[in-house]
Amino acid sequence: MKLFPKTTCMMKSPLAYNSPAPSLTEIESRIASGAKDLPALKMAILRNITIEPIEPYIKYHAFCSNWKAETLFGQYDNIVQEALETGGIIQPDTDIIWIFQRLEKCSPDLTHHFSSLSKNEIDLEIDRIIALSDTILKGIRCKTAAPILWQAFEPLLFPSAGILDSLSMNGQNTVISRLNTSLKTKLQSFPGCYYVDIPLCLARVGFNQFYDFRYWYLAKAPYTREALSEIANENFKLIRALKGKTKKCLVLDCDNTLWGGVLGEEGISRIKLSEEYPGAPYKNFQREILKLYERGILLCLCSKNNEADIWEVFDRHPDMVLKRNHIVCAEINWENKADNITRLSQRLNIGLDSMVFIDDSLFEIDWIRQALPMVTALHFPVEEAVHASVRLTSAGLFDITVLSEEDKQRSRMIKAEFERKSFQTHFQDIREYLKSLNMTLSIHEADLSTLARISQLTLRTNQFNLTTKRYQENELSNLIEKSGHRIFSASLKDKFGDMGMIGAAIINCTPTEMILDSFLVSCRALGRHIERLFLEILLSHFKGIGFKQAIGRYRPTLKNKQVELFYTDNGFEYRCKNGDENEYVLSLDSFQKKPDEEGLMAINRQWKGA
Amino acid sequence: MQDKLFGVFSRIMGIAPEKVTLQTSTDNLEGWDSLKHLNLVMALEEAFSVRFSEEDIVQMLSIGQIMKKLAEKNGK
Repeated sequence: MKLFPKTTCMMKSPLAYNSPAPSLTEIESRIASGAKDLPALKMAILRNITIEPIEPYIKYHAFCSNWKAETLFGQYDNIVQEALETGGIIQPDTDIIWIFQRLEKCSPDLTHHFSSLSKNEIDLEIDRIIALSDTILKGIRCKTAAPILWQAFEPLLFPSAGILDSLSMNGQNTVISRLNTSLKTKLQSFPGCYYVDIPLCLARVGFNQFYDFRYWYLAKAPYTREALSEIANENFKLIRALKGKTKKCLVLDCDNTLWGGVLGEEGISRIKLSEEYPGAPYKNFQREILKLYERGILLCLCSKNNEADIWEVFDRHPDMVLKRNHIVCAEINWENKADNITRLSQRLNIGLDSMVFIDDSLFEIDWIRQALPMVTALHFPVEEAVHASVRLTSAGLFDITVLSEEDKQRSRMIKAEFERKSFQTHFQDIREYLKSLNMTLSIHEADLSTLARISQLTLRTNQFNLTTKRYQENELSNLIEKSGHRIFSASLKDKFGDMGMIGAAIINCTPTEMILDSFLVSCRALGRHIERLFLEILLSHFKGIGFKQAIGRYRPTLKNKQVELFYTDNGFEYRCKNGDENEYVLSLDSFQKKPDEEGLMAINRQWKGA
Repeated sequence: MQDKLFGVFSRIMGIAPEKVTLQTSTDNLEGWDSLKHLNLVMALEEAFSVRFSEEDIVQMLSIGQIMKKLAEKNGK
């Protein structure tokens, strides 16, 4: 078949957990073949061992994530000097700092003289090493805020005391593990410092494949190529997460991916999906996918099937872990999958480069790699179904460094937004539609618990933002405490769910005037006249407590053209130009609520002023 | 084998393949330092699927020596 020739595209997927390290020639030729102008990623590597052989693997992983790695190695065993002294390899434009501090070099006591140490001496030695780390971190932080990736200490797979080491509460490995815990605590006390779990890398690769003692004794280079590849891979999971390259969406094939067998041929009762073999690996794969959902990864289906048949499995099959409500979007049809995935990305409004596609068919995978090279397409062949769960987690594509409350809610919120949109199409009249949403707008005067979120809104809202003033949390509390401002937030609920805080107003109160320093509404709440109601509620309130005049301000930016007429549309009159701001004025004595021409009255309101 | 060796060698040392001769050694090639030597050994082990002993590694200080070691390994 000539239609889809075997692709020559580079495979840009991460290493599978059980695949060997890429060969040096392969790395060389791949990087050469993709010799385009990728943005540079400048790495400074501080070490007390010979670690230069890691360079090709760093370049390889950087290339796979669309960077061109530039590596600088600090002087051998000069970690402290590189951290503290001026000059050196840490430059203002360094992007990432790696630290390789091998225990054997930094603490001969803990490695070679362990058995002669008292408990107290051990504690002192741990304190010394952590204090040294503190010095290094402080030194680097004086130079740059770039992320620091600190490679953890490795356990001894063959401790001198043998099994006694494992049995003892103060064995060498227990001490190394304590040292790592203290190191992690120390790292967390600095911004942008990360613990890289080298013991995990060692366990994955295995002792015999991890160390090469010839290189260690000849050149103080402890690691094999397999080890270096795995270490680079692990660090790049972090780097991708830190640089915003974490994937957001997982697009799944169904037949022979989520279950074994072909639904259209075998029927719902015969597909392989159960607690027992042969359905067990599929069920477990679904459990792994569900964990991604719970972390805010958007799940989509892209399957060549009859749509109703697929949903029947989701709704009815007793062993389905994934349910219909976990799927944010689906394209189940007989069209080509590249078109379907493109459509999914448009509907979700996310980039193709943040999508991962999994299919058992090499034909489909090759086609996507060719047609949509930005999508990470992973081939999960049916004969390797037992590896599917670990392959998914080991790839680290969805890894993040922190999990926020919003992440956990993301899928649900996006799905609610879709329901709103499809619900909207049932109505001819916008007033009817707005009424049917059963909205409740709540206005709260800000307190300490809400200032962080209000600050975030001022930082992120660009379109419906009258003055686009950005405020940090402490600046907002200063406004309230020191200069007579009052701050209000608006939250919205409707029949589809709670949208949380969607608007904010910062009001500078003089004895008789309320000056709207900031007024903004998040774009996900627009189109419902919430902004008008929010303003109206504020004006009524201030009129009620004796204010005479309201002043509105508009400062044009590249993105907020849509609010240019907001104040005049709401009864204000243009007064003057004040620097780069237009100033509008409204006499509160003459202020009246507008007739309900757009269904504002349908919105329930709650006032929770101080 | 010679072509493959010259290819790997020139890539690791960052010099043109034509500049590599049987006489090239640590004495006459300035960039062939201990670090390059380590990278070279790793690359040769991968490319020729062989494993050198540490004794081999410290003796492989010229192309001629490397050829000899590779021939020994392949002969076995």
